[in-house]
Amino acid sequence: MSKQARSARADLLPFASAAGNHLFVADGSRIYDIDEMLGRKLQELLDSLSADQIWELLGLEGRATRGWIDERPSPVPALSSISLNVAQTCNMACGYCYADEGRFGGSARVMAADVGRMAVDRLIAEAEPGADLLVGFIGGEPLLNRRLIYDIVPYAAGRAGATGRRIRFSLTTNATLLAPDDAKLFASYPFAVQVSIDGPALANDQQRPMRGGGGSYERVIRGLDILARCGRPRQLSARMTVTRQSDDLLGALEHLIDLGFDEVGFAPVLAAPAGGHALDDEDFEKLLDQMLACGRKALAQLKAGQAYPFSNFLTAMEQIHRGSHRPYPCGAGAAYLSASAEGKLYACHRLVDDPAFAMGHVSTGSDQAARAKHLVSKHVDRMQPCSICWARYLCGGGCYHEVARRGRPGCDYIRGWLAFCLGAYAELSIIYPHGLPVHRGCTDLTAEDVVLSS
Amino acid sequence: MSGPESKLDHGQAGSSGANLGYKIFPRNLTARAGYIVTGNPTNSRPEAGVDNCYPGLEFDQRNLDQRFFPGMTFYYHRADGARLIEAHASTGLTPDDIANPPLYLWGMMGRHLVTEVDPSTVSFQQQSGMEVWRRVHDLLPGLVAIMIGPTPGLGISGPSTDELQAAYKAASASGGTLSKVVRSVDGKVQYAVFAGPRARYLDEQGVIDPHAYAPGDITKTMCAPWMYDFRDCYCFYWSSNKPDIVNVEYDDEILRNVNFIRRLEHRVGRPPSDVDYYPNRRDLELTYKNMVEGWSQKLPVVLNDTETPSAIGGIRRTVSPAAHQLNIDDVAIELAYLATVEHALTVEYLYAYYSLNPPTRSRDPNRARDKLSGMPAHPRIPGDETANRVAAAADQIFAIATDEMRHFMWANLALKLLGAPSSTGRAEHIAEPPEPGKNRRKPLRGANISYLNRPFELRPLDAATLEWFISVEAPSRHINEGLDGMYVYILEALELRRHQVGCADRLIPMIKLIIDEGEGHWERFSRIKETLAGIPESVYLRPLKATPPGQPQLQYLDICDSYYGVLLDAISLSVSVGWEAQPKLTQAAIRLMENLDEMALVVCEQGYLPRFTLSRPKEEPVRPRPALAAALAALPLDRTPALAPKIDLLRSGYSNIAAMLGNVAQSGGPADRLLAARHQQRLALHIAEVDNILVHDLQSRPNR
Repeated sequence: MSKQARSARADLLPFASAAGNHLFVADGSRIYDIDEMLGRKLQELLDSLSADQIWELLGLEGRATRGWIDERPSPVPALSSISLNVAQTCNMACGYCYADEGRFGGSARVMAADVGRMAVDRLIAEAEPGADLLVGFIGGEPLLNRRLIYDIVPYAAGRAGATGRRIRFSLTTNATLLAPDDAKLFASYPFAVQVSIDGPALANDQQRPMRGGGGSYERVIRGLDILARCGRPRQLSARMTVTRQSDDLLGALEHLIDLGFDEVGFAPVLAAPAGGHALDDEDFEKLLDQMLACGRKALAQLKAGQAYPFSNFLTAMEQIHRGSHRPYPCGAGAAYLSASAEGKLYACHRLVDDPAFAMGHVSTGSDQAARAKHLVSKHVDRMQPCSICWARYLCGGGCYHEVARRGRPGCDYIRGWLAFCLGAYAELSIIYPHGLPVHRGCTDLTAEDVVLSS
Repeated sequence: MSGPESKLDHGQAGSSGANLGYKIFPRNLTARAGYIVTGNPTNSRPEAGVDNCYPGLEFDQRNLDQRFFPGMTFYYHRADGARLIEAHASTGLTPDDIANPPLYLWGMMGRHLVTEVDPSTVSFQQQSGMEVWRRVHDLLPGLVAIMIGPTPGLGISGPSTDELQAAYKAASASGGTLSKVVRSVDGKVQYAVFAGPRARYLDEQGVIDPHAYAPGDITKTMCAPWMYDFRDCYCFYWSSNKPDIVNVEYDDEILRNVNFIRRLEHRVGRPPSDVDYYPNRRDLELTYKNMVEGWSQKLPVVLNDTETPSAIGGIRRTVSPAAHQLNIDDVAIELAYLATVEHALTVEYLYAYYSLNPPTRSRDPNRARDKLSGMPAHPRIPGDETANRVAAAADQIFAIATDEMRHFMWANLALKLLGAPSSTGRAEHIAEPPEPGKNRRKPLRGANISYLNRPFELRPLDAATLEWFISVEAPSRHINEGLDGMYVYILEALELRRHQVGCADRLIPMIKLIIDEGEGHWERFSRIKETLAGIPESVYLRPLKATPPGQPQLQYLDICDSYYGVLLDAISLSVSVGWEAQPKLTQAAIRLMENLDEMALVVCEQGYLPRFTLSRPKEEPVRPRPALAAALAALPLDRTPALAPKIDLLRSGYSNIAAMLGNVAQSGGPADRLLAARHQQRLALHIAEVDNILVHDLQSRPNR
């Protein structure tokens, strides 16, 4: 490798917003206000000097780089969340499903009660004393095995209570099988329920058919109605999967917000078993335009003092406000593991049955060596082209599942979205100097959002 | 987080890009945390704090150990040792025992070092209170024996040491306490020995135990801003304004070398001469308490090296007979009326302000702000004296109007403190005489108040109006007269009945502020008259159209009225929220006044003056954000009635303005649309800010 000096553009990003000119420092995800002159000057300096030389010229203490985060891998943290693949099968037949209708490429099966209980015991055994715990129910469609959920929830709450810990639950469901008793359970315990729905009826039904044919929209609405009547979880969010076929994200977002979800978020498909769904290079440009339209709407609403529960945007605002900086995209393999129906542990629910991400068994414990190796090898500074990207500590290098299957086709899209969010944050922070007044439910992270507890 | 407006708040955090000559300000949390803050080294002890005469900045260390021995309180703030100032009856000592003569700590036995196995004995012979305290402070938990006696600085030696050690051993053996008071034939204490456990003052975590001290106990001897220091410094530290030694004129004779801060009793008759010896000199001086309580009435002015014969003295030595006639209810009724008068005057002054014709088309919000009002000021035009005089008069009258508005708010806050309802109406008559049958106000015998009884009226600032303003403010040049006189009577009545109101400490300074601020208005109006003298009214007054306003002007006039209404509603709401939210809400409302001002100036340019019509909004309230709705819903029902309607009213006002701005944005010309857009944006920000304030206030309420 040549000894050519590292470009300061990997560490510093000058940007402008309606609030003025700013400088984003990758190390520590710090944001500074600068004046226009300096903004222009920086554009010249970025190509000729290193980030630290520029920092010194600014007369600032310390260095621009390697003050907050460096290439050292995170030590293996104690476990704080686990997800249970309670039903590796599904009553729907969405073509893009990463879980291959819950079978994860294998055969359909459901988790047995003793495996579920062992998973809970494993979580408690490997968690810090006093730590807050999260148990997620994942599928397939987890409600196909609701007997297990009904068994595990009181069991886990009792075990957590007995060991002096707070526990929360999350469940990702297609909501087509929701029954009044489910709603009552979700309302009686601290639950975050995430409903998969892809927008208005027509769009949703095209992407989310029932296994026996026919659309799912009407059934989801019935499910939501049951939640409204029989018991609403502390947090009810919608997750919309964005595919090549998705159109009019803003319309879909508004539709889902109108349905009364506490939060609505998008998840683009990068890897899907069936062809024709995953986004291609040229799709990302269109996706970015659509995401920015949604982001601009959220920005305008928040500026006007109105809530706008677009979770991709709100999460970005919160993380940018805190200066969140992490060398991993999520907590998978770190404080979060996922148990398959047989009790095998994997880095995350998307990687179930993938031997490259196997990390032990609920009966014998998590594989510390595998987790440590994962954290060493997946550090974003070791990833390419991540190590020279200014957004690396905000992005973390991209979902392990997607990278393993597709590589990193969406980097320009991610940078475009994050650059927009940085500007939006600068503008909103004038009105909300202490961060956005986001009032989420008690379960502010779903299993899929779990980030490093450090 | 530092927004552009708040950069100054973080100015110290902003680092100058020294080499490039730029400034850079942290915005998000990590950036703000990224400064190296030099703190104390980890081995700092509390007593290592910055201090001048050893109180420390956080609390006075010495007070921690006042009650180190159970049942006794010692005072270490003395040069002659540690004096016993309180003793519980269980000690066997009476108040007379410890006062006459005073008793001091002579010696002590106990463990001081963790490495010490056996206790050590300390004699406090010739030691100052500070030196004694250092040893007491180092006492470890466990048994301690002390010996006290009447002569300061005597200490212990020989037989008295033996006796102290014997007491320690006896108590140690019995595991209990011991007390022995030896008296002379006349019953006076000769000496006394006690043994018992060192009183605990830290909790298990090593933190000062709040149960061991009364509120204020450990800070009571702190530097009161400067009076404590002033008394302690006798080394010419306070340069010219702190004389140590003065000359005094006495019976036409100048006495030399008299202690300047000598006790009050020494100020009557011939003063004692100063003494050189510090401890003796201290005894001649005012105590800390004396200094803090009314130094200004005790210390005289020194002119030409000589003290004036008497101190400055208080402003009011006797309470006016009128004040005696006001009970707390009367005070509330008077304040409620005065609030409406402040309101009426604010509006009369504002109207007069808009009637002026300053040279520039409008005030530039980005220009320099008026120092008094904080509002944008009219720019001056170099060389155009007439124009600049009108601009100066306009800025001046606007500042007075702002004062009156503040008084309006303070009067309402005072009502809140008195537990009375707010009073945001507008007086129909200014300086109306009291008539119990009509306005419930009590006529006061012997009150020196001139009741002008003039009806409220909006008038341009012609000569007659200016005369009226001068006359309504005229009494304020003399305290105890006119409108301000009423405030003085209220102040006196509150001081007389201080014990009847729960919050006199907040209420009284507020009334004092109204009186103090009002004092300058007469002078300022007189100055406005001088400033405008010689300029014809046709020049300094704005030309007004005689024809009724057309549709666009009516739209603007309506918006002005709505802004005015919202301002009143915000003030009314602000006195119903918590003490933290109140000033924030008021500030937000005052900032929104910039919108009113801008809109009014636009209408003025078109030949019409704002009407200040009191009206109710027609629109439904702006839908509250979910957070606010939730916070409101969580409020106990018994509190909702006071607050919810006020919030609704304010929100209806916002809707009203938003709807009207929407109309302008759709129907107006390009300039109107720009103006409407600017107002819409500021209004939205304002609503968000108010929402935030309310949510925070509602959520921080106790007993939710």
